Amino acid sequence: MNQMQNSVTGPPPALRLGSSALNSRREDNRLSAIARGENIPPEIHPELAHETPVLEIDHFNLWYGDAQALFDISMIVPKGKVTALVGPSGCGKSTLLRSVNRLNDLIDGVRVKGSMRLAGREIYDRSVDVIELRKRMGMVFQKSNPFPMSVYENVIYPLRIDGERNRRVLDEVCERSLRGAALWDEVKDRLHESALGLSGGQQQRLCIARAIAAEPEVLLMDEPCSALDPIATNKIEDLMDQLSGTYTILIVTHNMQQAARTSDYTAFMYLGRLIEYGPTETIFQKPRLIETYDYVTGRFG
Amino acid sequence: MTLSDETPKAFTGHSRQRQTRQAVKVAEVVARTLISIGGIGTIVAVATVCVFLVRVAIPLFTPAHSTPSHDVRMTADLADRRIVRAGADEYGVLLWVAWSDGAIAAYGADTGEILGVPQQPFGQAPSAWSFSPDGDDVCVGFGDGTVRMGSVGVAIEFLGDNQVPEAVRAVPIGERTRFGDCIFVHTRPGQFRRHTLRAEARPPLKIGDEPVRLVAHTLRNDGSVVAALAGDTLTLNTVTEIRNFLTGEATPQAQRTDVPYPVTREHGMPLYLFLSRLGDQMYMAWEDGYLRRYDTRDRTKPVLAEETRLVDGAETRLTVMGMLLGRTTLFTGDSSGRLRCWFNVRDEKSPDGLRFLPTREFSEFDHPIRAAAAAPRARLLAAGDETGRVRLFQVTAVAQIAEVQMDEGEKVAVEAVVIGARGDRLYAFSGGRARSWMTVDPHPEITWAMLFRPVWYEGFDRPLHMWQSSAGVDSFEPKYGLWPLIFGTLKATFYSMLFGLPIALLAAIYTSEFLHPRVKTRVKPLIEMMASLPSVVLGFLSALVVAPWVEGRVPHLLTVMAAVPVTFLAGAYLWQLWPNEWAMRLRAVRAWTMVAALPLACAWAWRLGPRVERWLFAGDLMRWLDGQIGNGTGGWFVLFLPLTGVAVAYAMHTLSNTFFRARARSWSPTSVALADLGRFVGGLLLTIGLTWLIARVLVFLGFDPRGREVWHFMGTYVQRNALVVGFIMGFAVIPIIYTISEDALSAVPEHLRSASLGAGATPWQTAARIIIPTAMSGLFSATMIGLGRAVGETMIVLMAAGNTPVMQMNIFNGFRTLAANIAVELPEAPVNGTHYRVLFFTALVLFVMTFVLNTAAERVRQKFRKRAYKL
Repeated sequence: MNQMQNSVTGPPPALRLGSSALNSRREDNRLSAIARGENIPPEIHPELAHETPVLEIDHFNLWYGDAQALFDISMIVPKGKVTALVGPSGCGKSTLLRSVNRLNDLIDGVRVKGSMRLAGREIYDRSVDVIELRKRMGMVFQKSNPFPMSVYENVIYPLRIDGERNRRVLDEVCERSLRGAALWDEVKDRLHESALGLSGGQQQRLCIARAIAAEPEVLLMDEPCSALDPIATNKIEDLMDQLSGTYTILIVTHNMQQAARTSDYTAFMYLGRLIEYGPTETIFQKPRLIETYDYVTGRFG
Repeated sequence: MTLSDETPKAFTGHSRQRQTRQAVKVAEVVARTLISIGGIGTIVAVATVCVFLVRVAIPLFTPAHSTPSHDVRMTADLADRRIVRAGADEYGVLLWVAWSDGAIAAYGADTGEILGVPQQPFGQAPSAWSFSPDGDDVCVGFGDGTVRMGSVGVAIEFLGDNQVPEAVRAVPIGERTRFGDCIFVHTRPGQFRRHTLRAEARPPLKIGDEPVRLVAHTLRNDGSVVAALAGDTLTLNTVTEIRNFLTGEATPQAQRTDVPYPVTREHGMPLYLFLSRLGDQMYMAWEDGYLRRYDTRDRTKPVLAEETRLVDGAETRLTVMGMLLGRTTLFTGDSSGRLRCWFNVRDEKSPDGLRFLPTREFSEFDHPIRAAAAAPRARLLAAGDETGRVRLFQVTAVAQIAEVQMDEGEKVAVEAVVIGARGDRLYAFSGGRARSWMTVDPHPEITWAMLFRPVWYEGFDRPLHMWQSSAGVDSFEPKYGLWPLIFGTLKATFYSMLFGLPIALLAAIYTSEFLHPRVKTRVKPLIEMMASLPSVVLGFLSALVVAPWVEGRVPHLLTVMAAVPVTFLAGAYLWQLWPNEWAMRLRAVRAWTMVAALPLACAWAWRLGPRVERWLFAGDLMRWLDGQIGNGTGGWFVLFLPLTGVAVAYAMHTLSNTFFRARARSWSPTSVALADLGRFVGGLLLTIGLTWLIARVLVFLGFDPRGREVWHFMGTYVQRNALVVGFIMGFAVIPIIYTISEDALSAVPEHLRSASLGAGATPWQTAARIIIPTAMSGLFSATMIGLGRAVGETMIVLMAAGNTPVMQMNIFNGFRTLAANIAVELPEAPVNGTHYRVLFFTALVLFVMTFVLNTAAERVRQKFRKRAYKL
């Protein structure tokens, strides 16, 4: 109860993050309150108020059938920044990500309440053309999923489906995207060979190239490095560094170091709720909540 | 707590003792054995079926072989007489010879010993003989201007122990003995077979005063017809018998007609005179090969229909001539050693519509042919030449079955040849000697060429592929051309796939990619249940309900086929006219409007049907199809409409899209939709115009889609036709193709679908660009399995296809498939007969067809699969 009151009354002093505090009455903290179903408002850091939002999420709830997966999420995704979603497995990070481009629509029995706006325009509205919406975003999945086509065709797929036929434009986009995904030098001689012949890391970078080919407003990345070895992961992280600034990136990750290294902002989620959201540096070094500290330092989750 | 602190405690409290239990090991062995037995058993079963089919079919192709049987000297006085005709019974026991002095004598085939005394049924020496090629009946003419009908043949009786003389009973089983003028054979304990020569003659009939030089006869149901050359007058006589009721005596009476064309001498002596079976054709041939054919359909008014020459070269003489079984085909042999068969074929230019043509030629002989004879119950022809060479041929197959030599040493001319009634013995006579051979070829009429090459069958004007396996009479020429059946099978497959494949594949794509998952779980089992519909029910339905219903509504149905896609597309373009927000809101209703489009399309097509019939088919489709009215434009229009439609759609998409897209950016959604609609209407009009143009050009170039040839897609309407079968068999193949395709499409990894949709592709783009190419190997398998079902399907085609073995692509005509043919004919084919074995061979052909199809399909499927992974 003590902890909870603290959180309600204001940020705890950094001093309190001593080991004695961490060990005291662990069962009675904010997380167990959430597990009990209590409604706890998130900690949003004031730095976010200065950012230009490209995506605004407002009291967003989502149900899979009868099971609620997302609880009253409200946050913004700042333009041109990398925002990381972290949290233990099953906390709803991926669901939130997939809600942004309405890929969850494909799943039977999904219901949503609340609002999401992309550049000020409502995403969840019956008058919205989902296809047009998705064209404004790129998505990279946990498992690399190149199409069984050539490297070239994979990259220009978003343009192909838009009916672009100009060879020069296609070639240009292909090269730019592959360079953007730091893959050009490795595949420039085998553009017309099957994408399935690439290595796992190359395939994932190919997927990133495909995602940025149509120059989306937002790039959604769902644990893009979870299946990759450290070298490939490193390359993709470098890539994200390069892309930030140009693209708005929303990334889900399990890897704390990755979040710390690559993102500008980090949101910590737990059991379908947003717990704390702020600049990455603050979240990792002196978070306001002890639960966030516990998680990012690897004490649970 | 008895455990001491030192003992490490197991994690679960159980002691770790992991050993495979005995029961598990036994189960493993049993399962492995059973599975192996099952697997090997399946392979063995299929292999056994194949081996069985091959074993039944293989005797069809075993080459004939002949073995010498007897070589005997007949006890006969050869002075001043020659053999006119010889014969044998079907067991090869008794031979008979008709000598030129009128004596008819019987001889033992194994000894040559004469049986009793020669019979003299005609009393005096005939001046002309006419023997039937396939019966016992005979007709002879005499120097006093009379003719006598009669019969010569071997009577065979089966007798019991007590019916035979004492001396015969002692004969061991299987042996024969002569007793008086007959031969007894002890067939099995208590049974004897008696062979006796029977020669009888009817009372003489006077037909003129001059000596009869040539005679020909035929027996008809309404009396006999006898043609005779008496002196220089050729007469045609219809002979009826008047029976005296009191005495029972029959008096023949002739109605004579003189043939008005003088018998010339410039060609030497006329040597042969023949009448066809029905007496409607009469042939007279001279020794230099000159032949006159008389049209005697009206026996009171014979007409000289044709003159031709039977031999090549001025010096060549006609040496033998006769009629084959059925008395339609004549055979000729000449001094150059050429043996030919002739019959009348249809010819528009000839005055009576027929032409007498040589259709088969046997050129194996190098020396003049001296004797030839046809078999009484088979299409076999034997001939012997001057040097003693005797050959046996199958006429339909134009194949030599046996070749034997009368005498190995000196060269003797063959005087007469005889083929045993069963076709298994060959006899040749020369200088009082009779030699016989056993020729074993149970299926002489089957060769690869007969089965797969066009054959010139009796009465047809050119070599044809034909299947006509049996008829009620012996004289029928069986036609075992397999192509009509193979063609029928392929035709059934083609039309049913044409109908079923697009529906099944589109339905699979729709359920897997567009349908709500919950609806899918209900729809899929429902369609799969369609597969369990017994095909006999479908066949019954198609034959008795669909076929009669379709018959009067073909124009309507053709219109529906065009109307449904057009309505759907028009609906889609009209839907775009909704403002975007409205369209999104009305999404739930969209599926229902799509469903509603179907009855709507049918309704307006139904109204339009009669008008379409008037525009395209001159107002009456049935007569138009028959070629009685109108020209081919309408037909070409119907055939080309779908093709032009697709071509125009593709061309417009490729050519105008970039242009359209560049401009459309700045337009409002409604004007884009309007422009799109305009484009659709324009495309529609262009399609119709272009198709019409193509149709006109094709007609102008002289092509007509109607006809009876293989490549004519339209023609005379038959109620049981490929359209009906295609439609109903479509229903049989749809569930199979649908299920397997749907599984293949659903098996495409979900992440590919997400990737494509996440990239902003529409569900259709995702399906067309990602899902279908990835699932291609599965879709192909589905198609092939459907194809296999269509190829092997029996009941539906049996009941609804009319079963006419014609080779026409005509969608409005029937066909006969291999499977249906086996079902129809096997019950009536005598076991191990030619027909029976040919049917097994067709089963083998079917087996090979599906085998090849499946193997090819598997190869292609593997390729697709590899491409999906490798590109």
